[in-house]
Amino acid sequence: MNASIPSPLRGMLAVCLLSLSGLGVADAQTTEAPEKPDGYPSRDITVMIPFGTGGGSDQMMRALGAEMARIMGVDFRYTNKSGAGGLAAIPDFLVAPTDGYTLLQHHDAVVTGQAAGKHNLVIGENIVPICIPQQDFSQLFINAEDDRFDDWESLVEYAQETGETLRVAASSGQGSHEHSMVTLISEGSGIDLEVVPFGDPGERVSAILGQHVALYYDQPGEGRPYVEEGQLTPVLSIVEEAPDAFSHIPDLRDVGLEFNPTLKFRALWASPEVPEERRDYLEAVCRQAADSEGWQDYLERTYTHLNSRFYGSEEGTEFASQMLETYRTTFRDLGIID
Amino acid sequence: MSDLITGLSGVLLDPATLGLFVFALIGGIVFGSIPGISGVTLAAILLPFTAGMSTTQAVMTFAVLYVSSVYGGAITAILFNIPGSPNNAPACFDGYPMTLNGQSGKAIGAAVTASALGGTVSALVMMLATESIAGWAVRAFGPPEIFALVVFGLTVAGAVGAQTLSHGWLSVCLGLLLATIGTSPAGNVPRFNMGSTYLMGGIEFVAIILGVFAVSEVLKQGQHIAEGIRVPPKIGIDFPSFAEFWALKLAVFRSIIIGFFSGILPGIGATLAAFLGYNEAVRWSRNPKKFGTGTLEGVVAPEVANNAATGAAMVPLLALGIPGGALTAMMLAAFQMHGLDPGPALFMTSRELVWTVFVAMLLANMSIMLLGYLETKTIVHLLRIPFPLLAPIILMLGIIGAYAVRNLMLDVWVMLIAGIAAFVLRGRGYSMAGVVLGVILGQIGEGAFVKAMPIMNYELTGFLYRPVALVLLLGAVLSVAISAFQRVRRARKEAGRDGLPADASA
Repeated sequence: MNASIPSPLRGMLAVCLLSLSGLGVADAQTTEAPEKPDGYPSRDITVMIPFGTGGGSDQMMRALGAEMARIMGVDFRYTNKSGAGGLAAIPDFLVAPTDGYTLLQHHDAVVTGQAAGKHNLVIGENIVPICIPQQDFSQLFINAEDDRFDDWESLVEYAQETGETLRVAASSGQGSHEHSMVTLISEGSGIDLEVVPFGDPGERVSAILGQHVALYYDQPGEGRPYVEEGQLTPVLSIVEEAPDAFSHIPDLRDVGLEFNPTLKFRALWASPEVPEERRDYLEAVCRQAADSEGWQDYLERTYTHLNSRFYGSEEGTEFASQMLETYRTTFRDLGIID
Repeated sequence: MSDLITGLSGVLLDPATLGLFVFALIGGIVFGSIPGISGVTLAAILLPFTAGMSTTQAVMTFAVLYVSSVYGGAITAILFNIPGSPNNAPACFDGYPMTLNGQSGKAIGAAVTASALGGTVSALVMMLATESIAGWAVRAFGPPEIFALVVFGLTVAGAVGAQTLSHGWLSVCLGLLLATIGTSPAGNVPRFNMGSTYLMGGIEFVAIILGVFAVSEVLKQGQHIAEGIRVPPKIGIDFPSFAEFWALKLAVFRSIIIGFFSGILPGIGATLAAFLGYNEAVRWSRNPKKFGTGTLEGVVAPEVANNAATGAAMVPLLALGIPGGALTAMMLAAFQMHGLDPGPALFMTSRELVWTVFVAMLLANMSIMLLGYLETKTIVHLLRIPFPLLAPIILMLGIIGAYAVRNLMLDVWVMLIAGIAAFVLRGRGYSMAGVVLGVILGQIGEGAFVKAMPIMNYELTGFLYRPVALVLLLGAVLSVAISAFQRVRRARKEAGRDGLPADASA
């Protein structure tokens, strides 16, 4: 679209679009939409986002929601309820009417939180995924100007020789995906790694670029801009076998680490008490939205198009349940739970 | 010079870009002045539409929005004791007392000029030195330095607005205690949450400030009406004179430096800048007791600082690709939507974009000055609304603001409880500014300390090996020592004066 519209008009178009959205006008291209069960939905859908406006989860849900709203012919409203690492939104989700008009966006913390006993969501009992359209593996990055090491091998050598504990800037601490993966890498490599949780992405990047920590843990898409600018170097892909695009970076098996890593993911959830035909409809809509050009653009923009696949409700529940068991075992091994 | 011309033509010669500039300027002021709803809210609404804009237009719109929204919240803080956002809370400390003293126009004029000045200087520094400052700031300021900066700021917090120093420190300690409610940043252990999942996220800062400022003020004014002693504030439309501003030149200079460096640090930004700006004004004043009673310096210092943080926040974003907060994170997303990544190469590959953004921010700050001057003459007339009508409006705005931050009723209850508690505490000489300072500095300080300890191998002596942290901590110790020394000397003088007649009669 950008190529065909002259620059001055693009801004005006944006302002006009904004005005239209203010009036609550939804694009009603519903010709290919799945059939609505008993007129559902007849009004706007509310999605609770347990993180702040503008964050990764917020952006993901708004990108997916825009496509779903287009297909369903109703608006999506977003309620950002941030706090306690995504837990503050949970009580409201649990007491919301189970009519399919209130949904929850959340990520892998639903699984790690259940495994670590941090919240009262139980997958399959009071929460089920409608769809899991985005997953990604993680990587460890170093500062490209760090003169102590320049790849995983030299990093391990350095850490073993000096006995120094290397700090890793990650988004979450104990009882999280990040903490468990780093601990398993630390144990498997025979080096001391310690996670320093930085909830704010800016602080996290700042910590590695300022060399206040030795490593940075994130997904390839998050680290890519800094890698392309020559500021960070990826040294390890935390995946059993890296996709071709990352074949130049060692993965877990390349460096002799045998544990099975877990993926980061973002999903749309509902209560299992929502009538089955409505959940089926939402899943079909989500599937169609995930095929849309808008969503694919989003995946590409966030560099998650290489690793994401679509999980519907049933496969998603299985996927999340498998992860739950993996985390339980890991947390037990790490002494986080009994 | 050619860069400047490129930037100016980028903003002014393209009608669509100019239209977006005006939209963002006014939108930011409006959204920034409504409590609980900030420029971030408008930016989130706008984000999907930036796909239809050029990269320059998208990034410029967010940059202008950022500048104007930081300013917008000062107006309601000064007129009604309702800060539009946390970074405008310090404007309540002296701005609202100025309104009560019949100097509302002067207070708003000071806020406007201070905001424009802080933002303009910050934008100019950003234009001249972004590339060189960014790398240095990120290396020099890690969590240990941020913790030291907070300690330095705290050492003066007890002196703000309380009846006595002990009342001041008790107020700060109450704030620090409130900041511990939620989840401990060390190990994510729930702390003082009384079993509530909602409280695991901590007490929302916006709810506290709306309670201690807006609700408690409504109660206080209501009490005055009941006692028949309330005098409605006089409408003042005088703009501060040049001489009055010139007298504050050192405070302005200090706040620009504080604001700029706070703005560069990710996760800190305009809120800490405003509080530190106010604190340092108190620390360096010859008459600290005047703060909290309605002094121009108390309005100027925080408003210069929070706006100085806006240009500074662009420094790490544009030069290193590091977003400092929610709004700059959305700017990063806008960049990425257009297949562009901010970072060192941006200054070479997209120079026109960078300079259009720089110039737009500069123009936004100048426009604030003009709009603000007009506001001084008009908006103060809102004070003519009789208090019995105004009070429910203030309470309603407060409730909306408290609820809107997280869409939680809990925050409304927190606001009401904080308001009642503040009403009682204010009557007994405690400082609400101190409580708020304690909450904000406590939250930031503890978070920084928890990150600093592993970085320093869990050894407190680690601070000694980090020059910036060491200087800040020594400054804090020196500040406390000087304050204690002055108090002892004053006490001895007073004791000497009291003893003189007795000695003379002996």
